[in-house]
Amino acid sequence: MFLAFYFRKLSSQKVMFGIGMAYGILMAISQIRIGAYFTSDVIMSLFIMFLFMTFADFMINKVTANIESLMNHNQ
Amino acid sequence: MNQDSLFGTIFQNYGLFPPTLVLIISMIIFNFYIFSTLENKFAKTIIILIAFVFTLIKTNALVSETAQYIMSTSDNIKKHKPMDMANNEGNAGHALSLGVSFFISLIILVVITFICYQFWLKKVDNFELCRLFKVSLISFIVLFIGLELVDSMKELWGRVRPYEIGLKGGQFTNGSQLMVIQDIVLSHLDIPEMVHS
Repeated sequence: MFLAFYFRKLSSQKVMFGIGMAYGILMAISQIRIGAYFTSDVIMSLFIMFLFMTFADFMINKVTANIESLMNHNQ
Repeated sequence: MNQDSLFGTIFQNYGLFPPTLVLIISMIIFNFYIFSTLENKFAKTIIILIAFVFTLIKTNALVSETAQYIMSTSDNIKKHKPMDMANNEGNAGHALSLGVSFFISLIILVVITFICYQFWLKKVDNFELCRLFKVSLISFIVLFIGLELVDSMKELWGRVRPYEIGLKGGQFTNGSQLMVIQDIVLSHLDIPEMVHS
């Protein structure tokens, strides 16, 4: 999911985020399937990583706001 | 639960790469930015070297773990054991030697660096590079803290894995089994009014 941040266009970011999310869910299901983790373990893990993603998104938007405006101005 | 699941084995053996891939890409962008903006050669060399060694160590950890899982899986198949017992404590096979593991990690790093430079970073302008630098720094810090937090929680909490309860027999009884036991006990009690009340 973090790979989405590297893309410039919002649509590409959304696609990459969707792929990352789907991969994360598949990974979680596979871990439950082989008995390595309980369902509650993977749900908590997804929740923690989602919180971190939201925090990272907030920080990135904050620190790159001036660069984005400069890029838009130049275009 | 099925420890012989192909789906589970594929994801367990080969599916651990995304966090390391993000770390590698962050390192490449960070180094590229430092290389193209910093004037001081000594500072440039030191920063790039430290970032490179750190990423090499992290990549090596992934390569060793993946190799260990793959070898354990093939060992389990040979011994007619469920193939996903690769992750079970005490069942891990022999990992690669340190030299081979670092060599494979180095090749992986070089290939990813070449791809990122040739098809992506070479073409970005200064504004985009500046944005990518900030994005890579924040992604790296947040991801690193997240992974360390999850690992520390695993260590400190001391959780039991489902296969440990299912295969080796734990001190706990499954909820479904408890219901059956309760039914049997209640059916043998000579107080039917309590059962229905």
